[in-house]
Amino acid sequence: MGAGVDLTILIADDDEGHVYLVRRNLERVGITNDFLHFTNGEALLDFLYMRGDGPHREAGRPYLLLLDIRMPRVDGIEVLRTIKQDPTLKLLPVIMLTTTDSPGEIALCHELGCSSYLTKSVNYEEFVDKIHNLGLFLRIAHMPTLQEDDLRSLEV
Amino acid sequence: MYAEQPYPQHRKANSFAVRFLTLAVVAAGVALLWFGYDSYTYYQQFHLLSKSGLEVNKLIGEIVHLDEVLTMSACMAVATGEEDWERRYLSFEPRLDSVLGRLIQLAPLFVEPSLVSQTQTANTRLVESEHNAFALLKDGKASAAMEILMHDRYKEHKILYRTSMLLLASKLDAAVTEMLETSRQNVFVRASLVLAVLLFLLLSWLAIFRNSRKEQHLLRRNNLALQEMAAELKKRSEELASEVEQRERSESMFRRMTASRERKNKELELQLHIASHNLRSPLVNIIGFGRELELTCSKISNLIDNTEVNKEFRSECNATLKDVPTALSYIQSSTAKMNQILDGLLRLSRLGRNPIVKESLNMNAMIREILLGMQYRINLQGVCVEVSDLPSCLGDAVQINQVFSNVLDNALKYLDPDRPGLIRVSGERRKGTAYFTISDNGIGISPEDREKIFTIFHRVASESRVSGEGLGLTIVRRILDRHEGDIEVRSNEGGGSVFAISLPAADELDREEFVSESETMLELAVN
Repeated sequence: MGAGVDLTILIADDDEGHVYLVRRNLERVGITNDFLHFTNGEALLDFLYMRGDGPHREAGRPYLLLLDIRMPRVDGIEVLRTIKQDPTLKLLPVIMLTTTDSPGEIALCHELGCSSYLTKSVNYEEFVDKIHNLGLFLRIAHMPTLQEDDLRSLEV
Repeated sequence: MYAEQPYPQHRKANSFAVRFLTLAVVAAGVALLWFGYDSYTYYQQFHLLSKSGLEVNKLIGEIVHLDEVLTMSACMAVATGEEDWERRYLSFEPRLDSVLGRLIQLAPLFVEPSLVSQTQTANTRLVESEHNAFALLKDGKASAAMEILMHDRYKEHKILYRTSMLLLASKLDAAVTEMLETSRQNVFVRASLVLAVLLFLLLSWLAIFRNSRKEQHLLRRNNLALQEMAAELKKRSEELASEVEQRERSESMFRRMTASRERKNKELELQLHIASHNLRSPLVNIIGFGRELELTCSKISNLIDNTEVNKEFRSECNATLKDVPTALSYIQSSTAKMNQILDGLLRLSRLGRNPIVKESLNMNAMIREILLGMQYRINLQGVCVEVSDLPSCLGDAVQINQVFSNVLDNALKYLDPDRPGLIRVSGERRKGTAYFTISDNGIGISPEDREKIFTIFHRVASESRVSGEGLGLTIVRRILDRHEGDIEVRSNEGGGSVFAISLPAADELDREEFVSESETMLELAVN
């Protein structure tokens, strides 16, 4: 298992139903990693920057972020921008997972540095396929840990 | 209301009258000057004559008197022999001479000189005789002296002299009288002449007066007409000004309204965009959980099948679960439909936000390309498509392609299944605008549907067999709105539809270039 059991999947989406469906379909392809769910961008950023009362990111642990765009308080685009401008956080793989399929927003996310862009298709077969493929990818991929040392070594 | 040009004629008449009057004034002036001068001359002459006449009369009287005195003195001297008489005679003699001299001076004015010289000669003779008598008396020859004075010759001279004097006096009278008569006649002639000139003057003055009155009247009338015209002009210009103002106002209002409409459109599109997206999220859940339910139900069904249970319970369970697939299929088809609508709305909302990249478009190539994409359907339906030469236009390549794709798609969709389909595409360029016509012999559009077909989600009710989301023409109109183009439909129900599209025309020069370029591209695509 490339991702390793220590990989924590972060999912930021204000729709509980979507989160459930994503988790359910990932589990079906054997992704049983820890999930952390945030209902808005602010809570997610608090976690990443290790502040506030909620859970905090642990240095040295690998994470993957599934990010929705339309969220209250801080939206997905803003979160992505913040992450990709942060020298440490920019190594965090971000997969956009959103209902928005407007070409402009897709292009913007790629420009800001998302790793991938998945549309939550209304067609459920498509949706399931996409999540399955994501699961298969997660099983083989190696996720970087967010540590200053690693960052330096990676940059070299 | 306007003077019908009698003015120049009047002017002519008036100028004639003026000339007439000028002539009359000059003539009158000349006549009066002449008359004045003449009168003055006459007066002078008359004055001289009357003065001279009076003097001559007086002189004649004096001469007669002096002559008597001299003759008497001479006679007395001879008769008495006293020297006093002779002295008296001698003292009067020079007086007679001077008076005579004066008479001789004046006489030629009235009488012929011979008469005067005759008188003078007679006088000289008398004086001579008297001097002779005085000389004889001094010598003491008184009788001889007497003889001379009593002599017939002396008497004869005396008579001659007196007669001459009288003749002179009568001639003088006659001359004065004649002169008076002549001057009276002259005055009459001159007065009549002056009167005639004055009459002439009066007449011409009257003529001018009449003309000027007429002209004044005309002028007043013209003036009134002019004033009326000026008032009319002022009214019209005011009307024009207000019209211009009105127009400017409505133009600025139109601009404001267009801008506000554009703004509202943008706002609406944004709201539409957000709403469609927000609607999509729940839709994902409905569909997703529906499928999850389906899975769950089939799992339950399997479980029941594979578990030892009461037969009655199993059949009841299966009967209950039987409805689930039907329910789920309805949910699915409805959500699919909803999703289609949301897709359409999103596409529509995106239209307004996509920038328009205007370029010259070769419409011949574009239509060919579109038809190539529809070739399968065209062949399947056995439709005949005729395309004539099309003018190029200015627009966004993708969006204009969408316009013609949608309209042609509709033409194909709404063909009459009872007759072979015919679609015609034609176009022409008029004054900077390219006009395109897409006509078909399909089912046509009823008059009440004609405007509605452009509204969102409107579908021709009678045609349930045709699939579609009811957005095609809405998008077409929106795109054309943004391109300053237009679309209208002409149709007879049952007789087909005609869609007329107008767009700004492109420069002809660009077109040539485009033709060759896109033709190569098309060839490549075909190959």
